Amino acid sequence: MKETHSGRSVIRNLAIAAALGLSVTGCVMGRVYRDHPLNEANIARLQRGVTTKAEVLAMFGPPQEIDARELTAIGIPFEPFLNRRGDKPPEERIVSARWFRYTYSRANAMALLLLLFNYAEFDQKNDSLVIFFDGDNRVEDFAFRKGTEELPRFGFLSRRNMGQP
Amino acid sequence: MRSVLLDSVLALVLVCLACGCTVARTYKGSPLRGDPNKIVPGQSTRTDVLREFGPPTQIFHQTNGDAFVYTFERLNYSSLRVRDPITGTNWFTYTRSFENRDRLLVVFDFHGVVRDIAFDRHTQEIPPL
Repeated sequence: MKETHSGRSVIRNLAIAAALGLSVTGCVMGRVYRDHPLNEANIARLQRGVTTKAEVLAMFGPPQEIDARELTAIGIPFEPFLNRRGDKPPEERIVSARWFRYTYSRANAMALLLLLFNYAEFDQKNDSLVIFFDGDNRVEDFAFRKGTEELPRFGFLSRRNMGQP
Repeated sequence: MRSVLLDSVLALVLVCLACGCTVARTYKGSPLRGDPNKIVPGQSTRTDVLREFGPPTQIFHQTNGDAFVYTFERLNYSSLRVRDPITGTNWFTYTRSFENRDRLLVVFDFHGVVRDIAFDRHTQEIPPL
């Protein structure tokens, strides 16, 4: 009878130890925001062959990335490639930005700190707008993706609901 | 008998205190969207590619045209650590880390027509632990 009582006591102590172990927990959540959200109303106003570079700069401000094709640096003939409307000789194109990229980045971090087990998750997504210009400094192509919409708010719990891996 | 059980419990608690397991996940970028099979080399244009896949992660200039690179990266990390519960010294640490990517490369000619396309999907292959 005494041994049975002792066994129960041990089980109870183990249960208490386990409960204490699991209850000594911590939770960490972090949010990172880089730059500012892109104005989607302005993106809807972009028109291929119509919107100029100056209008793009007025609508979105300075881009995070600018790139120009440096044809003069690679020593190849230009004539075959200057066949689009408004194409300029390479000396002018080299100082003319070919594409702009606007980016807004967000990241969500989450960590569960248990006594025996830690779980951490970090997810970074971007809103990205890339605009290509033709030789006339008008919008030739553009693409936008709102990646921050896919950011799970509470780590793996939200990711499952969103159908993400 | 009671003393043995008590010692066992103490030993178990000490072992538990000395062990730690960490699992971490990182996601960089958005999963690639679009169907690479819709892009036909020699026919599809840059506009088609931008419409299908959105803005590329990187744009490279090559001597014979541009190249778009789309990337989605995942990292699964897990570790098991056994340490001295009093001094905190690590007795044993085992870590495993898998970093995989989904990548899409589209190469254009100077006229903005797709010359080549390559697609690689590896993020689904990462083991959970």
